[in-house]
Amino acid sequence: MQLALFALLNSLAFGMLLFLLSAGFSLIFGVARVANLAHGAFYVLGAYLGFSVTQAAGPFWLGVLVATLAGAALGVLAERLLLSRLRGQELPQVLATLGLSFVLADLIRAVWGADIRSVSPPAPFDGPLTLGGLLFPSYPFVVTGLGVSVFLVMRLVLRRTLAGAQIRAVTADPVMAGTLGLSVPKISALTFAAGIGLAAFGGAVGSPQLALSPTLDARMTLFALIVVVIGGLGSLEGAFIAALLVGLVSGFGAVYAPALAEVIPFALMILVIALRPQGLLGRRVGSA
Amino acid sequence: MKTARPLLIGGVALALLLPALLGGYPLYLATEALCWAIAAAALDLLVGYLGLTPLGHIAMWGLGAYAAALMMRAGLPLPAALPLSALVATLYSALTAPLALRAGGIFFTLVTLAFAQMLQVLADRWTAVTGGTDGLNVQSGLSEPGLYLLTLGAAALSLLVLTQLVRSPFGRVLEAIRQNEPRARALGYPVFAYRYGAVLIASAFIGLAGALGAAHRGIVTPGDLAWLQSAVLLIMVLLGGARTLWGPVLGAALYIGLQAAVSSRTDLWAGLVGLLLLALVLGGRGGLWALTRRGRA
Repeated sequence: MQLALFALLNSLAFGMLLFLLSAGFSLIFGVARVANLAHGAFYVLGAYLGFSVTQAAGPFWLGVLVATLAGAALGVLAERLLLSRLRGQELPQVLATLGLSFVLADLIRAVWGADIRSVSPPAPFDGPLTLGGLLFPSYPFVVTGLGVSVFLVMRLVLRRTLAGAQIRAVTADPVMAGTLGLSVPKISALTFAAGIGLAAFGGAVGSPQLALSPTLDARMTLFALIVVVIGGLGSLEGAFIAALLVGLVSGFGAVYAPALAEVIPFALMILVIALRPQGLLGRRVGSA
Repeated sequence: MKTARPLLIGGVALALLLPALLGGYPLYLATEALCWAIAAAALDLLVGYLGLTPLGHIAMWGLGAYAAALMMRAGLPLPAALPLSALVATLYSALTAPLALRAGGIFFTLVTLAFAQMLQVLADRWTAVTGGTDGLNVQSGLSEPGLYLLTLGAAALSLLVLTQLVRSPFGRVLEAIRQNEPRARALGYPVFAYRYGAVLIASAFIGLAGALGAAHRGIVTPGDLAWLQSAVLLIMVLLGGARTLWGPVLGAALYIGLQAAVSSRTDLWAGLVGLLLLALVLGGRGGLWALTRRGRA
């Protein structure tokens, strides 16, 4: 019983980290039509930035803030310098972000070394928590709460604000949105700031939950791919549901079927695309 | 084409004489480049001629390599293991390609990548069969020049077949699908079947290349299946120029030479691959690849 509850808690926390990761991926794809294969590298960069700030200055949440802002700035930079020059060219964009991911991963390795680093949770959440007579670590609750909050805020922003309406308009039809006078380049840059900022935020927040290792970037990019393929590209709700699903199957898989744990998310993805090629909540995206 | 004949004969003569002129490491590199050349030319069938963007093609290479290693360890001679390895890679694509093709567009890229990564995880974890991170050792039973000549023969045969293929009516239809898919569909061509067929053919050659690579390196590891290697194959195609078949061959040779020259001086090789990719995409208004594209349009 305790084991199952533990697995549930960790799966939820992992699922929320996956949501923070893939929500940005999905947003960027929706608006700019870019499948950002450097997303996992930005996540890991955020984690290492948070780690360094914590090492140097102390407060964990300052590290999270710095990582998020740095991620947002780098997102704008990547969009301006790289992807805006390749607008509408699918293969070059995929290759550019792939190249960027290798460069980032090697930079991270050069700066922080290849050792595995672990970060301890920030002060009030570093101890255990008693719930119904059982002891739980408290940090996964924080991660889960943050993930759900970010989802609710994003939903609100996308549904209720002008900026959200503009993002939805560009997602639905960039050409028409541009014709109607929306500044597509500006919205695109903002989306990159938000999406990559979110990835870096997820990395910094998630660093106590997942140890930092040199191969984490490829793993996280892959998880982002699996989540958005399952959820449907460009759908926030799809990303949320799929992140939860993938978090649950990999969390419970790790406890009850460790030999298969890493393959289970792929199996889930294959099942979903076999039944619904556009993902659970996805619209059919033109193959152009 | 006729004027290129003396050049071709000279090239073939040079290629055949290479083992006598070079030995040791340069010959090793030449064999390595030939393996990659087969795979890159086959990948060009998809990237250049069909306009698909796979990112999981290293899976076929890796499967061919593991299949060849396992068969040779079971006592099968290399010449028998090669076609069987190509078959294994083709079977993999026969199973996975329908899902990726049906998803289409950018999903094709993402799904093929995810499948390849799944294979890498399997190769890493299924230690009983794959030896895990230690990999599998392979004894090809051939000398270094012998392997070179075998690979040269395989490369020549592969290029011959691929050249015939892109000039055939089949190749013309692939071209038509890339240029205007709705029109090809409207003309009554079964677009899915043509794409599927092209993927299977490319997979067979990439699997063959992987098997040769395993025999020549003497080892396969899960690292051979990393997505970095998928990117490397694409770089070879783009470096030499897509939609030319000989371009990727040239690209493979250039890349292997570059790697040999640089990798002894730095361990940040992946970052350099990334920079090369960025330079190819951004430089010269989109790299050599865009040049060939402009030539088409």
